Amino acid sequence: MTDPDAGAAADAAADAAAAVALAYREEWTRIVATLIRATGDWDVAEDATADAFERAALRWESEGVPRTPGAWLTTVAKNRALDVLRRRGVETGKVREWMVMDELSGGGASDDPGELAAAEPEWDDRLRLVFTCAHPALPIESRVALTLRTVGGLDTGEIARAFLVPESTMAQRLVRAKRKIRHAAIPYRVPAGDELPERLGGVLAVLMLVHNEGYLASSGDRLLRLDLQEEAIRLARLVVELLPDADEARALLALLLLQHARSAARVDADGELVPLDEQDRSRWNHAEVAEGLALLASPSSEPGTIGVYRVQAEIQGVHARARTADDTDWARIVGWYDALLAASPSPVVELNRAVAHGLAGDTELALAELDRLEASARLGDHHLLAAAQADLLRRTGRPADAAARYRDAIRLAPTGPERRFLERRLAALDGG
Amino acid sequence: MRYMMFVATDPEAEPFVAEEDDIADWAADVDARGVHVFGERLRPVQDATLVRVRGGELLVTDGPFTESKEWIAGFGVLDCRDLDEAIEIARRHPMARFGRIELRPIWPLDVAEDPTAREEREAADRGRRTEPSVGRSNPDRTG
Repeated sequence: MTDPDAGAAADAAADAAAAVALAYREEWTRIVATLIRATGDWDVAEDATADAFERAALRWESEGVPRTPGAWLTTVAKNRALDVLRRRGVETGKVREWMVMDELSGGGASDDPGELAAAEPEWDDRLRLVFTCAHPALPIESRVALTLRTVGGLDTGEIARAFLVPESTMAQRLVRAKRKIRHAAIPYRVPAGDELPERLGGVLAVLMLVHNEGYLASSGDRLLRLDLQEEAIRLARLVVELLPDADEARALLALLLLQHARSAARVDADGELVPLDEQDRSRWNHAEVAEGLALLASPSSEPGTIGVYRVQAEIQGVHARARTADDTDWARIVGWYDALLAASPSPVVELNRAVAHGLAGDTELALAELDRLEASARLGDHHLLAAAQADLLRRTGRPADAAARYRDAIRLAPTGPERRFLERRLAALDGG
Repeated sequence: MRYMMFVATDPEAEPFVAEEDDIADWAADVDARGVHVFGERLRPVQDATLVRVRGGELLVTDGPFTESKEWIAGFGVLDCRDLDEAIEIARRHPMARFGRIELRPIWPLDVAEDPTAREEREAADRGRRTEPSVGRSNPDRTG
């Protein structure tokens, strides 16, 4: 046993593993998307692609990493898919023809030779995949799962753990979704012109759900689940890359980045929640802040209309530009909430606008708005409503009323960290 | 791809306004496009008849009546490229506004096929592996 050889072998293994991991991030979606179009079979496409990466993990270590890993993987995956189909007795002549055509046209060719004449733009296959996974005829939880599995390349177990469901439940959800795509003939296509904005909204909603799931667990003590937030950002980047003119897609990416930028400052060393106004802003991820703000700096591609993600991102942008919490331009935030309320009315937005009014200095107006919201019962018993009222009552010097509402909020809070944060606020009130 | 389009009433739908009932335009359009195979409206449930055979005995009754305020008011068979085209056609039907529309893919039945063989074939299709089998992990994505 010679050390130099062992060292070289270890290096080769490490290089190969790193190359496979990198290729997985960069190539998975493209290969799967192309194979789904070529074979029309999601399972064959996913299996063949997974198989190609497994072979890469074995072969690249002994034979070295190929010069163009993506091309290597695509060829292996295509051959694998053809093998499976042939063994299943499928006539593969047509599939092979499409694959050859695909190579000649550099990808993005139509799924049907007869359709090539039709004047559809030659969309990237990955975009077809994104739209199909987010098709409104699928149940929303399946859209989320399928997007993470097929577009994101996460395995079923990872997704199941992130959503706190058994792996068998998640696997069944994916099976049913793919079955419906096949049986109901959900097309593998980017929606045409006038349907595109509406359907893009559906795609972005799926990414927002992925992010929200990562941002705040609906129950339990895991306040931050970074994987899903990063996954949402990665997927949003892909949509922006594929549809660079879509203002709402860029705005969503900005929104996700600006929120993610605060992750490190959002919990303290003990895992406890740190509210925005108490966060150490030097711990924000400044690269993500800069990228988010840069995305907002480019003007809307459709002047006169303003989308809900643009407004939400602009609100986060106001926070991101404030050097300290006291520097926050709350009047501007109130203005954005007015715009959001006009575009997409909801009691949660009303709640946030009232809080912004309070922080802009108009505490009485804010309390009156919250009282109206509470009387309307549209938010039900929501801990954030009680917490917002408690906070305003504290600021107006009514500690007894504030304490009562803090206790309500603590009772209603869905996660441990939120509960403990409110308990600290209540304790500070008693002490003060 | 053929779809059955059930046209149903819906208590939460927009109220019916006769002047806004543009079913003639819809019918002309789908006929021109050649996507509408056949369709009719249906008499209300009060005129329905229920037929059952139990233990070899014929039971004919009035009904069925349900507490539901949603009933099928008509149907159409669409022959479309895919679900998106069927949705595009359904969304312009006046009853999408005044009621609701359910699209169901038609599931062809070969009556000559042996029922047991069919059952087995379809069960095998349902059980087809769609995920890499357990224990076969993907390469580490995060590196």
